[in-house]
Amino acid sequence: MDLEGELEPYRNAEAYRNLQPATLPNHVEQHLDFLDINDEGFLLLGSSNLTGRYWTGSLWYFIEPEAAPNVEKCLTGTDCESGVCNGKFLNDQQKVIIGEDSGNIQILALSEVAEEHTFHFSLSACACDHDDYVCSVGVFKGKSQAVSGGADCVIKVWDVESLVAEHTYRPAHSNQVTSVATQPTDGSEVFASCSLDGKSLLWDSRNPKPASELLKGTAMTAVEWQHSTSHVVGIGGINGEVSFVDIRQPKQKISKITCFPRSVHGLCFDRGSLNKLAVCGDLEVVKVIDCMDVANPVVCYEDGRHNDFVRGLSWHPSSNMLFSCGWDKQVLTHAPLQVPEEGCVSNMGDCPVASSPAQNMDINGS
Amino acid sequence: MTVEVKSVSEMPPRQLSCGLDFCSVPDIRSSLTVASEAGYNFVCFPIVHPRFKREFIGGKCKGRDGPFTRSDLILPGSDWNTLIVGKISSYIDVDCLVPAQRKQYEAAFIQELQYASHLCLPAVMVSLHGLNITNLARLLNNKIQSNCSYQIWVHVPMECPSVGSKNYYLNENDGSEKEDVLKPCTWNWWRKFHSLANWESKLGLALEITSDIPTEEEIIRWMGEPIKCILISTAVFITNKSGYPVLSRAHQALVKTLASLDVQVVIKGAIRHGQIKYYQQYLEHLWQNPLHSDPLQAFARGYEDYLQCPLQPLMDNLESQTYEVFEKDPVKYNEYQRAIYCALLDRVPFEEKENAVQVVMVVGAGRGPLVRASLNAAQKADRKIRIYAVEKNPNAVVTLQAQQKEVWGDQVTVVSCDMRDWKAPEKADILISELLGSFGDNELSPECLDGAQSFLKDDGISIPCSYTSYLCPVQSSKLYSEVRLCKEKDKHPLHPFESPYVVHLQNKFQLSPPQTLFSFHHPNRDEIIDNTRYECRSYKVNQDAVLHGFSGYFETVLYKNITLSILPETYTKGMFSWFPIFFPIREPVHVKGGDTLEVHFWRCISKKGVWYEWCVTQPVPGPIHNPNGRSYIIGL
Repeated sequence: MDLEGELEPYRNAEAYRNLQPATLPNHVEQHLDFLDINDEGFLLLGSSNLTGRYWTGSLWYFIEPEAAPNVEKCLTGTDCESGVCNGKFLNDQQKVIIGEDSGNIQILALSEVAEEHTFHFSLSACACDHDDYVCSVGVFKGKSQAVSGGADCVIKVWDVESLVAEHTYRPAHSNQVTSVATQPTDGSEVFASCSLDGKSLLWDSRNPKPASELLKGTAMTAVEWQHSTSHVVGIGGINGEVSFVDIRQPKQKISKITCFPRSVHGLCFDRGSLNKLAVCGDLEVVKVIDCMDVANPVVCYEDGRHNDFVRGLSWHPSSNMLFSCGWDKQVLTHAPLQVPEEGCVSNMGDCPVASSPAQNMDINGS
Repeated sequence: MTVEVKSVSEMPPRQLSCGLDFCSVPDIRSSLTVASEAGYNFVCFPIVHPRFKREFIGGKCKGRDGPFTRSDLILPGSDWNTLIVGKISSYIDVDCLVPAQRKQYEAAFIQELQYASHLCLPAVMVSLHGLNITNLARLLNNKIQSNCSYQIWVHVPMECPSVGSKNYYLNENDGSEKEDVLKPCTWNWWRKFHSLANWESKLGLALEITSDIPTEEEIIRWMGEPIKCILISTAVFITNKSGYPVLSRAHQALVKTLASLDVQVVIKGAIRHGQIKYYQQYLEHLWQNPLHSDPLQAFARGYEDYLQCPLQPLMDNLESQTYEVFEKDPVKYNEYQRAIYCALLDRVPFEEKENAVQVVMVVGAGRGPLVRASLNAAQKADRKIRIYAVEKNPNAVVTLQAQQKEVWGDQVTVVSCDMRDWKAPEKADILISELLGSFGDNELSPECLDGAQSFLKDDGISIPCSYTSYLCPVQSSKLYSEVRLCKEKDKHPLHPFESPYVVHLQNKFQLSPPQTLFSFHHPNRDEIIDNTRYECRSYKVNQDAVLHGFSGYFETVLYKNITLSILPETYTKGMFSWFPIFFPIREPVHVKGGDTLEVHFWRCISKKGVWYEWCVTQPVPGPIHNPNGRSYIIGL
């Protein structure tokens, strides 16, 4: 390649067009779009390439969440045809559901190659029924159902074994469905959704008229269910506000708190009874809101170590550490429960693994 | 007589132009290949990855490294500017009520448009989501005013998605907003947007066919909009017995109706019926089986909504080709022949047929089709006639004289003279003329025939014996923006809006049924002949609409029950000599369902010529158009 002589300048465009970039094995894409940690503490990471020649994605599985996104330390990974917007572990911790830019929903299973003691993802089911990218997926606790919401305004409830759509709500909203969140505790098929149409809805798919209004206002981008009480949802909007609504008294806010001067992107409640809600938005900051008194939420943690938009948030089930990922290709850990004395901004997480950002860069990072 | 002569020869059958929409394009070159191998003509691609938001105002993320989308080098320029419609990221809402966010969105919007401009994309697609679209209209209008290279396709669903989503609501009052009390109508989104963006011709409607089809009335109203393309989701298709995607009967009819406007189609959505090529193949099939094909449709292909200045045969001599086109009308001359035949039978009883010779005068004989019709009629009726063929165009007279010499013989006398000046050697029994324009009297048939009737016997008859013009308020932003482009140097700046146009109206919506306007009878035995007219008409408007002007038609009685009509309701089947006339107005008028629309129309005459003046007085008074005939006058 290098000895073929110099490229004549007038053939510059042609050369770029015909360039076949070497396929990089074990390559995490630049834009880390989501992460999810299962009950055993294993981490699922999704990455996409949102610029450049190919807009593809990949999916990664880490036993040690702190090792992400270092591919050398992953258990396995797999390439995706298009970018992956969102993904979650299923109740069967060996399986994951992902939503792609192409509108595909996939179920992937972790399987072991017996002789080699290696693991890999195998596709157990794929359904292409969303007409635009899938914004959000949710898994019903203890059930074999999952829900997906897309930019095509459609919400679908899936049987994850067969990946057959049990319910299709077309259109569920009059603009992009930005987020869906399942009821986390009672094993029902109740979930919440929100949309750029400025509405958040509560759904019960057992009902022939399944939807009722939770909240109406400016365009909404994220919804998340509180685990400890199971009747409070947090809803984030493009105005940077997070509102709390009691589903038993819908259409009114219990309280609201302005988190960012930018749109909220993601919300994540801790899975225990800490009542901490992690928030990210269209900026580099991660915040945690203390919702112990949901009528008076307060920001109890703030971190600005990311260098680009933060996209994914997940709490570790046992250590109560918060993990975040973003378009700067970093996975960072946060320990918002060990707040420094004044409760002020913590620029360095107290977690040792996060002390050196360089350690979190993967081999292909630049 | 109306058709401008311009390659009227057979137009090829209408071709389907079908595009394929991609929600994600992991590899742009392979996506292009997929689309083209499946038979599609173009594609719709996002300009920037639809989830790739950018920070434009400040903070750490503003300085993000790296490209914001893919490089133009991936495709040759010719692919970018012929095959790809660029889609603006759907999250962008430049009318967002959160000021900080709106600024971000505006900047992102401009960035994507600029990149579309850089790539020389032929068109850019944006979506409307409601009535909150003022800033969007402003930004796009700004781009158009600064001469953007691309067309703008505005994506609007036929049925508002909020109607569909409400079907899922447990409590139907949930989610109702004040403006939703009436059923939200996406046409109002488009009307507001189009009006704010100044009806620019670079704005085209990309109308999405939804599973629910609106009412017939609403569909007809959409037909008055400048539809550039229709989008059909694969979810709208149903599966036939063999497993292929087809449209329901109702959707088929709708698509075929829209197809008459020469729209393009875009298929969007997931592949639900095996292969993506089946959708294109099905549409191809629909296109080859059009809703109706009659001689007019075939003749007029290529002339749809094409503005032409009405002919002025009195002032200008027609060209040979023009005569040739009009002589091809299969219906009009047959009807004339029938009329002459009946008139001859009525005037000459059977007993007198051997002796009586009827004097027939064809005034404005052109190249002689009516002379031929008269000769045929006389032969069929078995009556004797003597014909004078009067023609003022010396060039056409050559044709008449040649035929007289070689074909017709002494039975025909050719007179090279203006019928108004001719001193006839005898009086006529039957005076035959074809001087009607699309608006009946607009080629000055009344003035000409009033002059010619001096040599008609007292009991003589005129064919035609009467004609009536019709006027109909129409919505057609396409015509309006075409009219606006008709500016001419050395003419009054309002000239385009004060002139009538002859046009094969397709892309229009009638606000109310046509009504009669001016009537004329021949021969005119009034003591004082007055061909000026002044009428006022009130129209009841059925649904919200925009008035862009008035279409004009005519009906004529040739003789007794033999008539010709270009009025849609009574159209003489198969006839193509006349397209409707269109009188524009300066500014579109928004009217509401239930409004009364009142229009005044004058036919004015001076020594120099004849002209129309018109104005709208209700629901809002507007200016009088064409005062003193400053912009348009028909020379005498």
